[in-house]
Amino acid sequence: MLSIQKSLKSKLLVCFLLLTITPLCGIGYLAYTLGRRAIIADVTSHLESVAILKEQQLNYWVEHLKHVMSILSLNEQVQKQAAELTRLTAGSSEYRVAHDAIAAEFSKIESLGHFSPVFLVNSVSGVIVVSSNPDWEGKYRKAEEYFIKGKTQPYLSDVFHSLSMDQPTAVIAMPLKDRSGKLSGVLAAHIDLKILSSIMQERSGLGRTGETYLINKYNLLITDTLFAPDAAFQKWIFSKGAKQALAGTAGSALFMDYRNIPVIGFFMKIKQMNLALIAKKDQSEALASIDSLKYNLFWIGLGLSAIAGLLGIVFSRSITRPVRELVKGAEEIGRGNLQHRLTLTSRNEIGRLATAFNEMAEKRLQVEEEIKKYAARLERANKDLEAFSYSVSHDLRSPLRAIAGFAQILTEDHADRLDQEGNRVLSVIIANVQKMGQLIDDLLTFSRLDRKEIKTAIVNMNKLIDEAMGQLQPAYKDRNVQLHVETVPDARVDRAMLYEVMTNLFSNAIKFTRGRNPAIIEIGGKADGDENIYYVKDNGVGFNMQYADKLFKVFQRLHSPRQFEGTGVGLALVERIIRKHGGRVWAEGEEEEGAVFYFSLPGKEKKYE
Amino acid sequence: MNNMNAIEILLVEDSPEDVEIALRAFNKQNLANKVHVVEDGEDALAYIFATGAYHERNIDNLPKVILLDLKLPKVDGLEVLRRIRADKRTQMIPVVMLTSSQEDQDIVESYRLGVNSYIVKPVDFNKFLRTVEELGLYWLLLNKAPF
Repeated sequence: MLSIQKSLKSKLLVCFLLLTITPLCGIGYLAYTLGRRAIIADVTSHLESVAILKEQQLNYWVEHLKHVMSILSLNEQVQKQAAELTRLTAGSSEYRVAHDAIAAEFSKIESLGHFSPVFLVNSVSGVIVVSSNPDWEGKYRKAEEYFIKGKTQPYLSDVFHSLSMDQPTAVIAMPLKDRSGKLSGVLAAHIDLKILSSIMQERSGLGRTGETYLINKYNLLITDTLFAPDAAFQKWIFSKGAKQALAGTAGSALFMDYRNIPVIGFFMKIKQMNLALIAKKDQSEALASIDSLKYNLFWIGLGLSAIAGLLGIVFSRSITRPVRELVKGAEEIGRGNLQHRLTLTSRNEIGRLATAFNEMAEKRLQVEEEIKKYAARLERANKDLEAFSYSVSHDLRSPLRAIAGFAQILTEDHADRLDQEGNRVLSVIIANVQKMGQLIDDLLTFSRLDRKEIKTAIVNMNKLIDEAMGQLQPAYKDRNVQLHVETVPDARVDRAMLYEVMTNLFSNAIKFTRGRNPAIIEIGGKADGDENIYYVKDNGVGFNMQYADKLFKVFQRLHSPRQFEGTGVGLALVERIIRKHGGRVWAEGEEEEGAVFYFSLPGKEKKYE
Repeated sequence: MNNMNAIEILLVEDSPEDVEIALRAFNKQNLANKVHVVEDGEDALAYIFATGAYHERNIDNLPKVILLDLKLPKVDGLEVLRRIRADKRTQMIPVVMLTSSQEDQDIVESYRLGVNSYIVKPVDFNKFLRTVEELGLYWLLLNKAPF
């Protein structure tokens, strides 16, 4: 009962929870993924615009630098003096004047703050002839790419680490020509890259973790970063964004940054400077709102589930309580308390079921009462029958005994006064009285059997057969009787009753082989499936199979009393005993060819001594 | 009947025919004068406990055996047996049920109440005669009574 209620309850509960949690999970998941996607798109486009802005700034800056250098190259003083320098001998006072004039211009440029140093390389020798930093003068730059390329057109080098300056730098160079257009040297300047970091680190609108930085073609970080302030030229970055940007692809992605922290990033290549620009923002910050939505959804879901669970419990209780009551009542009725009635009054199915139960109990009660009535009637009838058989036993025998007794006294004391016919008639009376006595005895034995309880135990059937034969031995001791007894299986039976069976069958066999020489009687038996089958076989007068069904009926006889004495009760008794044990009896025979009487008993494989 | 103190067998039997046949048997053994016959349970008790019509009888002269029919007028055989066994003075008397009933319940109840023997009267006259003779012989001659 408990399990029914429990399972019903838990099923309802699970239903409730599923009904609330499933849509909640679906909606939550949808809201989360859509929101996340929207936020990522939003952040990406923001980063993109920031990156593009930075690129523009960088390009403006580079253009500006080029512009400044162009102005320098167009400076008349510089053009004139540079041409002088190619003509004059180094060390002469004129050379000195020209040098100083150029140096002064260079210093002015340097003081603008973008370059350091600014210098002029002799277009033929490749030696630095003038520099805003005098230490550089006389240094040899003939092999430098900026010198070679700068002789023909403006040139911007990649960012590199300068050994002589021991700092990162880039060089901008362009040809310096005199008025006639003849090349008088290459004008070059090292760019102060600090400005790059300051451009990149300008983070307005990028929030707590948003930033931009630059990487050169060797994946070397060339600007300071938010989380590694002095990492410029100290750190190589191989993040997915860095790789894709250097490969020339612009785009956005979710990847792990240099701190190995997940970020949303936008990346692009700045072609002019051969650099990768990366703008990125931590996912934790960018997605903070959606994550908080996620947590909120989780807690709301949890709360709703709890409410659903509670509702489910309340609801399932309201369903299972009547069911439980129903089960309890039904069980009470089932236990036999038919007076019990279910008190459910609801008009739903359960209430109707309860009503049906009550009606059923009522019907059963009526039936039980009927049965009780019948049982009482039956008992009364049985009692009457018992009283009847008791009085038959006692009262019927007394007068019989008197008839027999006084007839006997007549023959003993008064035989001489009777003639021969009188004596014969008397002896007929006596014989019939004795027969009647036997009939009464047999009938009583037979009817008593019905009232007798059988008490079973495992019985050694061979021992039982031996005893039965032993008891009947006096009846055939003067005849030639051959007995064959097989070993037969044991059986669970009422020993006294089976003894009765064996003596009956055996005495029949003795009786009906009268006149046979030798009389052969065979007793055997074997287990057959779940029953044991026993038989008693004789070579006696047998019987016509036509009458086989009459054999076991009480008072049915196939032979006249003149042929074979008997009351016709023995086999009926056998049949009744065997049937009481749950077995069957049957017989096979042929007139003058003998008979076989079989009986079966429920089998017991176990041998028992 | 006159000398009540010589009585050794008390036969309690309501059927006069049975009484006659029984007496015929005792007669053959010359025991007839030692037999006293009563016809119902009440008389039997009166005789045994020397009350009523038998108040002059000496109660200490116990019969050597009581042959008791089961079905008796007034007080039945089982009740007589119960009363005999309930009284210290009479509880040792051998009692033999001599009856027509072969009902298990009667046999069991008789033994439960302490009967010494239970014999079903045969219908056969000769057998009945022999049975009664043997009973007389056994209880009077062979059996050793404790009193």
